[in-house]
Amino acid sequence: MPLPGTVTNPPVLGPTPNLGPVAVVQESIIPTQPPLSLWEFLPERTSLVLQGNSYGCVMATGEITVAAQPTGGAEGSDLAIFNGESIGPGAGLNGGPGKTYIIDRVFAFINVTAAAATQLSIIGQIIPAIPLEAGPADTATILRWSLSGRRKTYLGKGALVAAAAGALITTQPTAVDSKWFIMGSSSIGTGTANVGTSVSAECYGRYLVPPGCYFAMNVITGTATGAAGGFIGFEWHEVQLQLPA
Amino acid sequence: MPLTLPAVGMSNVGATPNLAPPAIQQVGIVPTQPPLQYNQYLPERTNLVLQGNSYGCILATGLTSVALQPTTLSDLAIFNGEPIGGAGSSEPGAVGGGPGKTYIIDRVFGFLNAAAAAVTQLSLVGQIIPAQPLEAGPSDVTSILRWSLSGRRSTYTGKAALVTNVTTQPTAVANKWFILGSSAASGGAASIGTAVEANCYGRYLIPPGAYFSLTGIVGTAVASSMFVGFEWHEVQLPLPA
Repeated sequence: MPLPGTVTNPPVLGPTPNLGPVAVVQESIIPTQPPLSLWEFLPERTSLVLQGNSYGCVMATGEITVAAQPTGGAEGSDLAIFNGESIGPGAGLNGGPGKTYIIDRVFAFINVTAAAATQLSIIGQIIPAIPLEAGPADTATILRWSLSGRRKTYLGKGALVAAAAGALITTQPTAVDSKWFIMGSSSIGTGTANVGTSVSAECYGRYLVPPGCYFAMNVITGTATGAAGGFIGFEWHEVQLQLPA
Repeated sequence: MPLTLPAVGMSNVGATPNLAPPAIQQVGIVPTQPPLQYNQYLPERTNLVLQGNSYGCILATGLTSVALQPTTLSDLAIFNGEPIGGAGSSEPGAVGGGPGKTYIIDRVFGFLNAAAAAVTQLSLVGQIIPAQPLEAGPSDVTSILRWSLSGRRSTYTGKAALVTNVTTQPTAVANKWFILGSSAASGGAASIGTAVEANCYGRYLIPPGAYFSLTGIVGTAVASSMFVGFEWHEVQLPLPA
């Protein structure tokens, strides 16, 4: 048994890959293609984010939170993303040559004190591709960033849209009444000074947004915050996936 | 056999061992998988959702929440209406699964959409109800909202029957409910938006002929307030005897 730190030249890619820490030390000098052992040791999302097409976004200005599930014709979103990648055969329903967006984490927080102690929940909705519908214009003020820290600007084709102050998005996307699903468990703002009440929900890549499709979000509170009270954001990966028929 | 690793950006790697579970390979899902490097790097659920048979559902109208563990009442339940085989089981459909797909319950959630009279909390309870030999499934309640997690389908194309607010089909067993997730509390009597999410990690399997039932519990009951839903994957699994 070599002493810790001893270089013994194990056959990293041989019949039995050496998965021990010594192999990691040896091969970590390879700048662009770490060996299998290192890939296996990386945190869950690192290899994917390393591809350079992973982003996050958050609303630049807050929005009034809603004190009920959006229903009754104003099935509005506060923040949504449209996948503006090229649509292939199947008018988007089969994906296409463009990248699919993988929604990986969503979050929201309250930034204005409410009139009473309240709770905060996040709701989301997947809105399937609508053939031949032109996507909305991107709202450039919505803040976005590269998760790999390598890009200063967003280079993808997603169109992010946010509600106007005190309003909801009711078209592009047009969400469906009551079809919102909860994302994460609710959090409580203790007392009326509930600034900083937040929710973060891991999605585990469960929600796919192919070209032509939308992902929409909103938040629910027991006591509506004042104007600019609710901030919403999410993180996603853009990957060219071969969607089966 | 030596292990090889594709360079980043390459399409596929030939003889590289396929890391998918053998059971999945048997049913022909493998050919549609993306290149190996993405299989390895994608978030946990993406490759499964990519197959196109993953769905979510939620009640379209809220139910009166119950302030006690339910006995036979299910707020929302799903019946697996896939063909029953009996492969590997002496009790048709009960254990062995069959030629039809098994439903993998992956995430459940619930929330309150009407205010209670007092500060309250919300919990979710579930129950697996095994396949009942020769029992015909219930009729699907089409008003229960459902969606594709891959965003590719506007309608549900599976064979599940979703039912709501029922005490038969399924008939749950008193006290056999298990908690899903931890409870959430409201900040005040204005309890709208109190929500619970529980990731199940594919822990609950519903073979053809079986049910999964979901119900909410609150401290202070409110009419029309309880909304529950869940997400599931439909996969053809060779369940052992």
